[in-house]
Amino acid sequence: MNHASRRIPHRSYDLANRSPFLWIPLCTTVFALIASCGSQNPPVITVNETRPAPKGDSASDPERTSAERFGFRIGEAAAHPGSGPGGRPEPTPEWSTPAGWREVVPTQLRNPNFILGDDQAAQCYVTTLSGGGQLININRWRGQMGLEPISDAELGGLEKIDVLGQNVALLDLKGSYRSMSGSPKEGYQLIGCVAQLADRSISVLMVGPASIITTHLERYKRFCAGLHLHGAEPVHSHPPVQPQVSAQPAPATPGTEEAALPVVWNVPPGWEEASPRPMRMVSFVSGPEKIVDCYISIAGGGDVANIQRWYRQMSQPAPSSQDVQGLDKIELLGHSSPLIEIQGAYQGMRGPKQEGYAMLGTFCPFQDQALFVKMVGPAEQVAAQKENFVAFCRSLRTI
Amino acid sequence: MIIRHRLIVIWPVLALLGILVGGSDAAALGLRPHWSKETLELASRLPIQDGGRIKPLSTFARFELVKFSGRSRLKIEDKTRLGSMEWLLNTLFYPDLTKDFKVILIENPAVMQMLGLPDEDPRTRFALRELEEVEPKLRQLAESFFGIPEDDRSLEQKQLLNLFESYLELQSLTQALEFAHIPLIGEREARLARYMPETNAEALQAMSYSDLVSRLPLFTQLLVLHGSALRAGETMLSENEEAMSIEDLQTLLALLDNIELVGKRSVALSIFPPGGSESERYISAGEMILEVVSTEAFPQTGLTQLALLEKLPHQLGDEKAFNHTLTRLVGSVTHAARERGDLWGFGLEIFFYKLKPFHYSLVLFILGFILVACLWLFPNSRWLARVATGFIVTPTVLLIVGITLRCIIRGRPPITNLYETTLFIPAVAIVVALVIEWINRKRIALGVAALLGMAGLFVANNYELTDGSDTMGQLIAVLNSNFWLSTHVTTINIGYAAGFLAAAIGHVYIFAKLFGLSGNREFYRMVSRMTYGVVCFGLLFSLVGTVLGGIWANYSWGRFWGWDPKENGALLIVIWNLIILHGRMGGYLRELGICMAAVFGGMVVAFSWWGVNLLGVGLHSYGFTSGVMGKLTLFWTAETLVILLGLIVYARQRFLARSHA
Amino acid sequence: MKKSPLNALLRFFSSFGLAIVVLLFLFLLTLLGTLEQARVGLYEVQDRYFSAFFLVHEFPNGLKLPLPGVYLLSVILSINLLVGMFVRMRPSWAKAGIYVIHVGILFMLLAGLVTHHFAIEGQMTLAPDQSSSRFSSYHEWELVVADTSTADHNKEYVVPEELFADLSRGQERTIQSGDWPFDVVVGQYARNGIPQPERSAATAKRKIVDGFFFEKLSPEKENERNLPGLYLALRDKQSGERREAILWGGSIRLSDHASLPLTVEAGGKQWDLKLQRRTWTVPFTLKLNRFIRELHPGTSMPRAFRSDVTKIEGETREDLTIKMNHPLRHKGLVFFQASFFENPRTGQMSSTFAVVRNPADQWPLVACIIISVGLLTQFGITLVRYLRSERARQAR
Repeated sequence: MNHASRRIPHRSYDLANRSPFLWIPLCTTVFALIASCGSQNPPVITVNETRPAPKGDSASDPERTSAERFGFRIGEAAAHPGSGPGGRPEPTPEWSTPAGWREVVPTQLRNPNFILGDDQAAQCYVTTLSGGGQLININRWRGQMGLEPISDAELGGLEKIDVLGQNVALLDLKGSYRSMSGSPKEGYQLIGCVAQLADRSISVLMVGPASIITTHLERYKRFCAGLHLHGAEPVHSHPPVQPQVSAQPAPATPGTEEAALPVVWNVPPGWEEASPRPMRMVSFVSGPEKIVDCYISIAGGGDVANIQRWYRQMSQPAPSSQDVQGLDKIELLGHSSPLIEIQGAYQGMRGPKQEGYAMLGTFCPFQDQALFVKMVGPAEQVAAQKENFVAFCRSLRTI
Repeated sequence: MIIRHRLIVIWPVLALLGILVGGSDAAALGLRPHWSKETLELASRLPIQDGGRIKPLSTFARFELVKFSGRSRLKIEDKTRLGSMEWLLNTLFYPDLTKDFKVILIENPAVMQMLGLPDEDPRTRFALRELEEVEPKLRQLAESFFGIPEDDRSLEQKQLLNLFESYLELQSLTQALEFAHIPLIGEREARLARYMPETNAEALQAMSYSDLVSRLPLFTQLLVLHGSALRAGETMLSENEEAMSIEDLQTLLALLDNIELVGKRSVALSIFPPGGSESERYISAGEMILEVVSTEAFPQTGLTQLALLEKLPHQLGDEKAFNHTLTRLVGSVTHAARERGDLWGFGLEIFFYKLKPFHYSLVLFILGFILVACLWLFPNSRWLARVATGFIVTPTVLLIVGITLRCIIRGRPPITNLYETTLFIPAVAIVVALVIEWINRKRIALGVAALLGMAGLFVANNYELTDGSDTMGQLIAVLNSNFWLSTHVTTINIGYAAGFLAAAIGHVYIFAKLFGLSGNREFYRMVSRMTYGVVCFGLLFSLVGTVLGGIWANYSWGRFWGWDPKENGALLIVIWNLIILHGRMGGYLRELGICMAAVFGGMVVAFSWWGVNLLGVGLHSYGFTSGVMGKLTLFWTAETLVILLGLIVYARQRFLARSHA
Repeated sequence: MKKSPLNALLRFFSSFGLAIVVLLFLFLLTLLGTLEQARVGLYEVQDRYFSAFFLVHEFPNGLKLPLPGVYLLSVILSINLLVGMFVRMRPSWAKAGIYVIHVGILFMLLAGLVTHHFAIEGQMTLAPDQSSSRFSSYHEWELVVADTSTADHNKEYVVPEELFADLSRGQERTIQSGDWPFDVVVGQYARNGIPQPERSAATAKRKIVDGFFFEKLSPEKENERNLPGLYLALRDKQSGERREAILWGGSIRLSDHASLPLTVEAGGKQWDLKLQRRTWTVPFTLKLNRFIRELHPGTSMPRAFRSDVTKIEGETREDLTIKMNHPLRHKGLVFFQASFFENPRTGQMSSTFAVVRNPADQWPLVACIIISVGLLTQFGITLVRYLRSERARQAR
């Protein structure tokens, strides 16, 4: 049948053909010996590999600390943009990190900022806000967990915890957690407490899947106990210019579910935040009678239409787009925006026409819509606030 | 004695055939609604976009049903069976009735327990209504499992997530035509007519949903005009316009909300072709509404089509009118789709699924195998030989025609996904077996061909039903290359086919020896030579295919060889074939040894084909297929037993030889 | 053949027995390595099974089995092939195909050897409008000492990872250069880890430098995700004064890819030290104009990835497209569309290219052609012979 199989029977009985198993260990040993030679590094090595360094790489800084190199601290200026020249140095929180907590990049609202265990979902952070207050914070958290607000009286029934020298209520909530963006997450637990200082509130929030959070509760309490402010000196009057943060997301555009990026600002002296109003991101009142009304709103519909509406509100003929272009410019969120000034009789939402009023306004594109800053009030009071208005616009920034 | 042996093989095969033939008929419908053939025919021609491609509604229906229930026909209460198209039409037009159909398959009792469903039997099908009752639990579990990274999810968690997806999808099918029924304009809404110059209350009340949608920009305008007055304290109304009362404004707002809400529920059928050429996305009724709302643009043809779709549920009692509207709808959508050049292979696809080439091919292979078995009993009947050959060749041709049709429909080489390998590999193995038969006319390869045809198509059928996704689906970017798909993938699969064929012929040798079916030494030598020849053939293709795979990898991501599991699987086949080859050359393997090694080679091929996909690592993994592991283990166990039988044969040979000496 | 020891050796190395044993081992290793990948990841398996001389495989039940590595087996197989071709095979036309096949396989093994030792593999990530002429390794790291005092022609000194990767706790090695005012004393190196602030744990036994100690972590399954750390000291050449530091390959800030360099002033110059992924320069610059990801309509399934780039070489600029299955080959380098990164905040898409420099780039193709020719010839010859004998048998 075939040639191969006929030739097969010649079987040689020599050692080589019969016992490869004997040879293999022998050969492998030899190879191993060859391989193991020459891979030892000498105790002193002279560098011989060089290359031109990339251009424009100017990250050198002899002053830089290890913490900064590894990204644990961002420069003070970046962390607290509110404390510009002339502002007081911010009292900074100090703490000891519990075991199993990992410090991650602090942000404006989260300093310090930790991740608990290996799970990105569980986190704990300290937030310093000017204003605010215990009840507001607690009710915001309750809202995030889908719960009804509670009253001051009900706060008393809660467990207490020591933080920053105060004995305050410890909030411990379980359920579905809804952060600013994203879908609600089931099986979450939120632990929080707020210390109310003279000029600010400092809250410590721990939130994540309940299974993880439960195991960290003791560490949380110890962390709170160890938290203190470095260089803190309560300021009672004339709070310095401080970052204030809007926790309200901007109205979502139709079709997109993404929450807008919040905007932050510095509050000019003499301005007071007014109660929230529909269609407004934030409102302030200023002037001796607190009747100068200034607010930020975000709206679609095109800026020309809106500006024309402003002129109509002030009982003035609408300007052409050339007129608008000829106006003074101010800086708003990185855009050079026209500063609109209108004098006239103001027709508000309710009530009679107000004679001798003035309106200041500006706008810039914001996401898919436009952001408007507008101030209305008696003409001379608006004129007095113009400087603050411009400063306020300049201080606006996204985070 | 021998005769009885052979008959034993035939009985289970006959039984299997009975199941298949019995299952294919019985289209009688016990439950009303009844769909006429004409209606079904018409509806199946409706183009729909799903999984990134345009397919006939009948294909959509088939794979939806397979995905939900693991079957291509649905058994309902009174033992009657619904075709997938009938099931889909029932689901769309009689949602309330179909909610009681036991459609959604849950395989794992653990999942049933999690949901508090009755868990007596594994593999139970549940009705949508039953699942709706446990929805809060289902949703809560699914959401918490969704937070777990994909790799860390347990089998039950994955299954529950799949179940949730199926649940939502089936639910959305039942809601697909809801918008046609929900009355949006009541007394209160009708009052809005007086703010609209060209309408009156009666006309407004008579408006259909698509009419309302086409007037959405008008409503929005109304809202802006009157709403601004309340919103900012100023008005854009002229002196003679009547300002809207707050109550009416709220009604208007609610109406707009309702239009959107109702629309949003109808997203299951993406059948309306996009207007412009820049979008490739066909949209559903719900998406059309969102598009109108967000862009204030009127997709005119889309709205006409929407109106036709909306009309259908109201004409259910009148088949003639229903079919008339359906014809118009299908005509309009088809026209637009054809204009866009989206209907390549569309008609052919309908034909393909109607032809069912693989189903009939399987039936014929079974008959063919029976005939070959008879032929072994009466080897001298030339008449029987011809018929038997015919019964093997016909299904082979049918199989090849089926594969060719798929290639034409998709404009792709024969293999682009795992399912297609289950068609291609048996086809190649059978063709090679037939060539061998043609050369040596021993009727061994013929029988092996029939067996492989049966086994292969059975696997194909099973895989299609368990996988539950469109087998003509789109390709991900890396695979999107016809050149490499037709060279590397095809070659390597020919290698797989050869591996299985060699293993199958190896079985013949071992069993023949074991049962002493032939006393002819020449017979055994020939079978062994066939095995060896196929192993060589397999080596040729596996080696070239593997190297081509490396070249593709080097060409597309810069490394020739990365020790990726799928690559390793191919390498294992090559190495094993090389071992057989050199084992024979060196005299280590003789007739029986080659055949046993070939059987092991079959196990290696199975590992490379299915096993590596279960490892869950590497670029080539197609994803976890839970049922496969069990079947694979079964195959490996059986084949190990065959090798052990081979060892028994060997031991007996040695014993006999020694006692002779 | 005479029974001399040389002949015995030749016969051993050319034997089918050796070939089969080696192939059986290769089979076993490939199988075990594949199964092991599910547990420890591809990189680890490659390192331990496929590029090794020896290894110890541990079965799930704890049984340990010493085995030769694939590298060793390939070497033996090559010798077996080579000797076999000369000793065992008698030259004859009937075996021409077999000769050719074996030459092809040898060539392929050689290609594997060259690739293993000389190929460089890395990646280059570009944001739109960004350009670069450097790419960096996925797996290897280097210590870079750069003189940054002059703005224009500054120089980087590169210390590859293998020169200090073996150092563990308590060991030290000095790295020097005539140009430096200091010696770099490298100490403990860890393949993966994270610097921890002193206050975050009990630190009794740890070496603290500037408020931090380096915590060693177990390596990740995907080796690319490992971030190494190194203790080092700069010893002033004149005063002998030591300055300790920890270098880390990563950064806590997610927005930064690596930690910022350690800057020291010495000898009137400013020096930057950093631990970074092994970096190579290419003799031209690549600029990304835009990256496009196409999806199949209505799905999240990618249909195509494409990068429009400009290749800048001196004064010549050339606009090119790199896409899946269509790499850019230039000057011995190949750029492949490998992946992309979408900035979650801006939605901007960056494109990542795999960059490979492999002297044996096209060798497998040549080997494949040789092997195919050989296989076809041989099986053609065999088939014809078989058909003839079959016809003769039937005639009988």
